[in-house]
Amino acid sequence: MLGKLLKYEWKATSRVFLPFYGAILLFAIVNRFFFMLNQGNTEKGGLLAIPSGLAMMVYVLAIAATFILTFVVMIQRYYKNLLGDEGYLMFTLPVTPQQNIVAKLLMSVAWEVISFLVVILSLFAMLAQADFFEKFNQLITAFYNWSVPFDKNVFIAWMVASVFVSLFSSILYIYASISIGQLFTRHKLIASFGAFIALNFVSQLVSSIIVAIIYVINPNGINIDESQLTTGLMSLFFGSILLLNILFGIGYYIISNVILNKKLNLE
Amino acid sequence: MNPILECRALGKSYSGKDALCDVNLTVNRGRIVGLLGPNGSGKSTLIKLANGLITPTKGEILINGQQPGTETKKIVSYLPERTYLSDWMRVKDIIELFTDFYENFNPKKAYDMLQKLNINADDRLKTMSKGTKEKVQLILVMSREADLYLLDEPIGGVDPAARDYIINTIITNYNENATVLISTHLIADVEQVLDDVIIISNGCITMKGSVDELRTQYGKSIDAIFREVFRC
Repeated sequence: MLGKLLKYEWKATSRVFLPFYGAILLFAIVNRFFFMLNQGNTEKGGLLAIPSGLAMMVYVLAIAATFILTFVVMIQRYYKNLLGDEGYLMFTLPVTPQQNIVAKLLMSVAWEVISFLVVILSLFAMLAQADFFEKFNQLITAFYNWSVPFDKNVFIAWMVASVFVSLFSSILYIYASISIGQLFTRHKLIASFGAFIALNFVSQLVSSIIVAIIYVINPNGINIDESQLTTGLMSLFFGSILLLNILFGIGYYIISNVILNKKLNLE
Repeated sequence: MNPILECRALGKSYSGKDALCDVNLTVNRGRIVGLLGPNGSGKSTLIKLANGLITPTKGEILINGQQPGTETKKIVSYLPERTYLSDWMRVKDIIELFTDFYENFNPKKAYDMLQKLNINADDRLKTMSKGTKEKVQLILVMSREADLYLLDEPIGGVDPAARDYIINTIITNYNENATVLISTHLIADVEQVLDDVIIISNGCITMKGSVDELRTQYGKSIDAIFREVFRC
């Protein structure tokens, strides 16, 4: 059932995203074309100045628009499709509310990742020269030559894990806010904003309490000199933050799940 | 076999106002039941409760002895009063969706009915008139081989000829052991196909029974009884 929901979620959302991705890639190539044309041209201005300037502007706008779109669509799918008129279909299909939430979550994460990859791809299409790989290798070598006491591969692993957990957690945070808004008969939108702020407050409070506890245990707190940051310490630091984020994410998921299971009230 | 639909002391209130108060009801299998009442009397609320789209404030509602959930949704076919399908979808996309999710959905039946009503399966919903959209929704609902059909105002927005077709579709397309619950205020149109009647007003059931019994008891048609009871 989850697979089927994902299939329809894809159908409903891809028709919105694919044109934007097409525009990004198209304008990246157009820009590359203008770069090639401008190569011999050292004087400022000239025939191509306006079109190439415009093309670059459109490219940047298309990227900005896509990231905004990813965010807006993520909210819309939950607020409109699941809890609006279309909810009459979603909640009469023989699927559980959990499956509905997870389908929307997975698809939203997927689009965030795909949008990012498309932008990277477009930058590559626009800027990549023959010596690109050489320069890229230089960058990586410099990174690995940076002298710090921790294992850099572990560091990268923690970074990637953090990004993924944040993706899931932030989306679930918004779902939870919208779900709480649903509990109110009127002013659902305002209630959702209120819940958004309230949940933020709660998560900040919990984080502050934890930091306070750390300072009580170790009066030096978490100030560590870069030269003392061993892999173990670094993992402890990132691991704890990651764990906290995961717990918050689970909390947000439980909020949405309980509300949609036991307190659903579609208008 | 247990009744297909049962309400026990069922109540639903919104911000202190009662939409349904203490409803006790048993609907048996194989009956065509009319849920009749003026606007705002609680008909849609009752149907939405049966579908698990809203949750009771008091009491319980049972479909085939179970609370509304994945299992009951498999055997209930619901026609809401509103357009609930995505506008951008084509009719054939929606048929594919229903075929995917519902084991008891019969796509051939759906295509047959679409053809009889001259509706093109390639059309997108957003290009259709309200009446045509309603017909599409009804076709989808009646193409399922369900145990309980819940139709919320199925003939409200369509012309009289289409109304006759719809009522005819309802009685010829469901299986004998299935129950059809039709909520409407166009009583004269449906009266002749109903077995039983439930009259609801201000969230409370004021009258229920078989159509024959009530007609004999009051010596008039259900339509006339309704007009009298609810005279403004």
